[in-house]
Amino acid sequence: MIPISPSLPAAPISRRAFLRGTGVALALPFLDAMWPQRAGAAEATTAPKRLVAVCTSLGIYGPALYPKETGRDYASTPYLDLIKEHRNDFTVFSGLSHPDQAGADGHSSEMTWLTAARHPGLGGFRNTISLDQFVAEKIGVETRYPSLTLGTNYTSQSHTRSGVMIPAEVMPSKVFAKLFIQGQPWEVQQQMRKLKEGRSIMDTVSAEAKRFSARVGAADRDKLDEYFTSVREMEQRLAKTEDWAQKPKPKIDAQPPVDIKEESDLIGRMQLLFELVPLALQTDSTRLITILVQGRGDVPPIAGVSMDHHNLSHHGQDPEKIRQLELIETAQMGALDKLFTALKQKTEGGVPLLDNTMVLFGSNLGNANSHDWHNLPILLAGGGFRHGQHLAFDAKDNTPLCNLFVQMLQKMKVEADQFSTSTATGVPGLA
Amino acid sequence: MVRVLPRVWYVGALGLFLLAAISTRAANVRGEFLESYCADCHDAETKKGGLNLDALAWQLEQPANFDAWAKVYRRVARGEMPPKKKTQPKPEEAKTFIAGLGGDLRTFDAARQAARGRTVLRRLNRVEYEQTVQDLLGIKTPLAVMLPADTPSQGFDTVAEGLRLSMLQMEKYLEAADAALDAAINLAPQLVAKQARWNAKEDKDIRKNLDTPAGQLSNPKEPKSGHHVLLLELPDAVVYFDRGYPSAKVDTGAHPAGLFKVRISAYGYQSGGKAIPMRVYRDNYREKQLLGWYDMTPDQPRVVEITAQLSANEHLRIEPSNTGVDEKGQTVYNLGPKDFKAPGLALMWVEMEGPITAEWPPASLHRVFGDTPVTKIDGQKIRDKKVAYELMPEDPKAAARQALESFADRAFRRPLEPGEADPFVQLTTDGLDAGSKFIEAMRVGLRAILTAPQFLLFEEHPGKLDDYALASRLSYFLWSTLPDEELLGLAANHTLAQPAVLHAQVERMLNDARSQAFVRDFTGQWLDLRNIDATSPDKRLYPEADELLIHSMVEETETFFADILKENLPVTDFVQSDFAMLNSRLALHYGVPGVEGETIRKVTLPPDSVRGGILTQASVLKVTANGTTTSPVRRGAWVMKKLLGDPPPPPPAGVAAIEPDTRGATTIREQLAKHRTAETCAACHSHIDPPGFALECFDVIGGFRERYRQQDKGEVVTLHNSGDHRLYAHLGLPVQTDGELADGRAFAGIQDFKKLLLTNPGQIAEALAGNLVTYATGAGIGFADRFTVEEIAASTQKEGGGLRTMIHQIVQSPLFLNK
Repeated sequence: MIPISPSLPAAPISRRAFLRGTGVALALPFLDAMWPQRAGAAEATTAPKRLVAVCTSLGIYGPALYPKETGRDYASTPYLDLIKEHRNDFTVFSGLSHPDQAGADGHSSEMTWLTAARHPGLGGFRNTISLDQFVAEKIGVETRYPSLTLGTNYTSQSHTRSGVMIPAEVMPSKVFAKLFIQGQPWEVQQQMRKLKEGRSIMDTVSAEAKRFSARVGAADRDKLDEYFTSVREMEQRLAKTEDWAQKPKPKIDAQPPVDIKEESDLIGRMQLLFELVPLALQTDSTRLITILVQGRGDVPPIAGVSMDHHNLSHHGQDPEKIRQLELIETAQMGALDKLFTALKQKTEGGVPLLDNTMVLFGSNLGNANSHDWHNLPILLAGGGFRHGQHLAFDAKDNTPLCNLFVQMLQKMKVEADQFSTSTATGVPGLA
Repeated sequence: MVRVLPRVWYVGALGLFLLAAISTRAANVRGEFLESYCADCHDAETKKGGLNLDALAWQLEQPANFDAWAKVYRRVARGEMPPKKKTQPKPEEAKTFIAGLGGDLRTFDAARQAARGRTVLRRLNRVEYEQTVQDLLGIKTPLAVMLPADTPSQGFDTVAEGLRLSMLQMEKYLEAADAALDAAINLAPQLVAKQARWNAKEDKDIRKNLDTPAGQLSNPKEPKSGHHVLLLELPDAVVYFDRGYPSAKVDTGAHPAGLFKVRISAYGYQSGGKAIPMRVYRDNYREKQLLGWYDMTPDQPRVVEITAQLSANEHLRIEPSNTGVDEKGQTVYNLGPKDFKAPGLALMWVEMEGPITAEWPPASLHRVFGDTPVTKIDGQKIRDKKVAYELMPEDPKAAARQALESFADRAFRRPLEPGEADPFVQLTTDGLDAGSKFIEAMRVGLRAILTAPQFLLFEEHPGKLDDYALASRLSYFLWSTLPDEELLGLAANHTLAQPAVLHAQVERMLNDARSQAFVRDFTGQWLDLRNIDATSPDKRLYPEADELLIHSMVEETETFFADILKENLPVTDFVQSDFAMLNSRLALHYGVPGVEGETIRKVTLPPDSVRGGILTQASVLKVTANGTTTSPVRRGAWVMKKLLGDPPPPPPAGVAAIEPDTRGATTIREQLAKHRTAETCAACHSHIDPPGFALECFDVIGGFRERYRQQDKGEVVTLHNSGDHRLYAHLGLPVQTDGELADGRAFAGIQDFKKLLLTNPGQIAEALAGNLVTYATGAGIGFADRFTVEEIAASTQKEGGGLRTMIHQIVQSPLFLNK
């Protein structure tokens, strides 16, 4: 296998192009090799912290997930058995949730898993910034992409400061190309031209907005400020992108993924997105990734499953439905296991990538059968915490999930002692 | 005409402070009432329901404080507070308190509106953006999907509060403008429309299935690989029996993308005099999309004509419904086509003509480049086969100015101010100076116009809207797109705001096909039709939920609304009507006899029908259920919010939802019983649950039921509400539909319940008026608005209660005519 170099043609890279170059392999683990390229020799000695958040939107069947015991010596459960090799690399939480998630419908909390805004979709609801974007505002400039927003369809968990949902990227091949495939010189030139045009357009419309501002009343100024800010940030972003466009993309020794055409193959598509995670993090293309695995109203191609996923989540205690639901979720846990393994195998400076990467895995529904948004299934792996426990909080009076978020922010070295509905700077028992 | 509150509209910002000061004194007077009747429970100590009147200041300028007082007003005005068991105020005491507090709140809110306007600066939502850009450029390219989803506020995505802006939004506007211009600047040679004909009997795959001897092994080593003939050849057609394989892939060869006219000829075969539904899809192998379905007449060929937008090389796919198995449950696979005596679809031929282009070079070039001539490139000089036209203005800078000024003028929906186009022209001339070609340089100026605040935002000033702002508000309300020349003309000569002119324009606009956007976007959100595919019905419990049904459901509700609008029928028809909009599939679903064919038409309902109105329409019943079970709580809350304008508060923290259980041991009704007994729950659930109880006789797809369905066990019955008589279900416990309203009036079921709702038509009218005002003006109903909405509803009721009348009332009301 050969690394993708700027001289290779742009996507799609044929399989043959790779085979032709067999034998040219990188001698060093990639990240170690790229250290000197990173700006600022001082920081280069400490690996950056990363955050990956994966939400499966149809809940996780509780009885198969939660251990009965708390603490370190819990007896494993069917789902946790599937990731048992990593037992000391994750903590399973129960009794966490966001307060006041009764929303427009049973699935509204899907848009607030990382924001914790109250009463999603009701009345004058406004979403707030998501955890990843909050961090991106602070450290996003340091990487080619401030964050990656991935999903199994258009919907994502990432929301900007003004509460706008960032559409998810769905096609792994496109994400791969964006991260690693260097365009032809003429393509780069064209991109540069577009970026420059974009900047002069932003310049012009910003001047227009100033004139506009003189004409509208005080009540409208806030809205117009939002326009100004958007334009200014866009200008900065375009300038930043121009910088990055002129720098070659990182070379890696992995093949571009082949997209799964069958939409109902949720787990397969989730797996492909997972495979991008170590590559993106390891090359420091980004430090923040969110993935929304949105349950679907069709039948996934999994042996033994004959009913659609959403329906199964409303199992109504029907044992057959629960059995099939468990088959789907077992496949999901399998994909998670592979993600943990991949993040452990990659090392940087001798330390597994997982140790510098927090992986938050869970759901916005505690019990999808009744659309209950309390007692969310939450797993946190890696990131340098001391794991290996089941931390249980009051099932009747849940602890805010945002308390855990604040602790994660601090681990990311982001100065914050508060996030959304947090009431403390951490959860007891996690260190 | 609605009465205006004349004094109030002119109170300026200073007035707000004065009002607040005066009201502080008024509040002191009211203090006695609060002290005598409320303070027991709502003091600093008890804080019942989280309300502490000791700490509740009178600072109406703070929205939270205003809302808190508005809630106090509402609870007392509705007689919910003080609670029945506590000491009651004398009627005149309550009346004085309500009038005083209500008056203060109303005055304050009205003054705030006069100073600031109800609607804050609003941007185009993505539906409006798409329609506007398409109309501006004369293109059909989908653009909404390229933009971030809008967050509806107060139930609608037209509400300014929810329409935020962000860097992401700007990024996507730049991209969408680029995509739109790509489509508009089409310099390709004119596509020649071609005619293609496909005969079922000559299709290669069909011939292969027909001509291969039955039993011939496709794999000589595998005895099970014998060929099955599944199709039947007739003199004029080929019969398809199976719903799935082999479906007819209509191969009419390669073609470019565009608009096509399609004609299909087929008929029902041995269908016992019944029509056979034929589904027609467009298919590109990756995904297929239903273009429509058609009831094909038995034995006599029917020719169906469809006009469809197809991607390059996309083919049609045809599948029959209600076929596949005979009465004994045998399939064509087992019996072979000759001995199989079940219905099939006899497919004869398909003709396809296209792509159809109305005008070439396309009109979009003129929309973008104004007067600059589009010239055909001399055949000799063509280097690129994809380009046949060019724009070579003699004076590019002058041409750019003319084109951009004319484009900006339309895009900004008002005449340009002197010099307003200069910055955009500058962008283009900068490009020309730097050596860009004319088209490339023009694109930069055009993209800037499509990202400019004048285009994306609606400029409105506090007080009465100016003529152009009014033209836009009207146009986006009823058409979801920019005002046309007539509206702009009336704005230019300042006559648009005249009541008679407004009335005539509303009539004209509602009669125009563009008003379908209003029907679609309003009902899509008011009645949640946009969520129709959010859940798919459990195939085992609801096998009859086929594509035809789901497809027809939304059409039913949209055409129902459109009919009420067209005929100016009373808005109470949304609760109960003596007619329904049905096609054969819906009629079968509802058990209404004598409706044939796929076209939705108006059908008078039998007097004893449970149908009529929107509550009993399958679409509404589906979006208020999940795919497996119904919940009276969810449906009840929906009815309160959507139809009664009285949304219940969200459930208190710490209360888990009821776990649905379909094993058949208990009904949801039994599980909900504690709502009736526990006092804390009953306060809200005595209002929420009853509408849901009445609707329990409808399942998750809106079928009528007397017993629940359940898995695997229980009596098996054949489903009557499906064209497929082999479908069956297991029956469980009986459904209970009786209940009583919070005020004690009892009902036995849905028909009774609708009658009770109709005893208060004013509430229905107010709720709908509130929704329409919110949608039309981009702002929710504030405290002061409530009174105007009541007046709109009342004057509508006085004039016969028609929906069209209500739209006129709204458009002529100060809520619509002012910012």
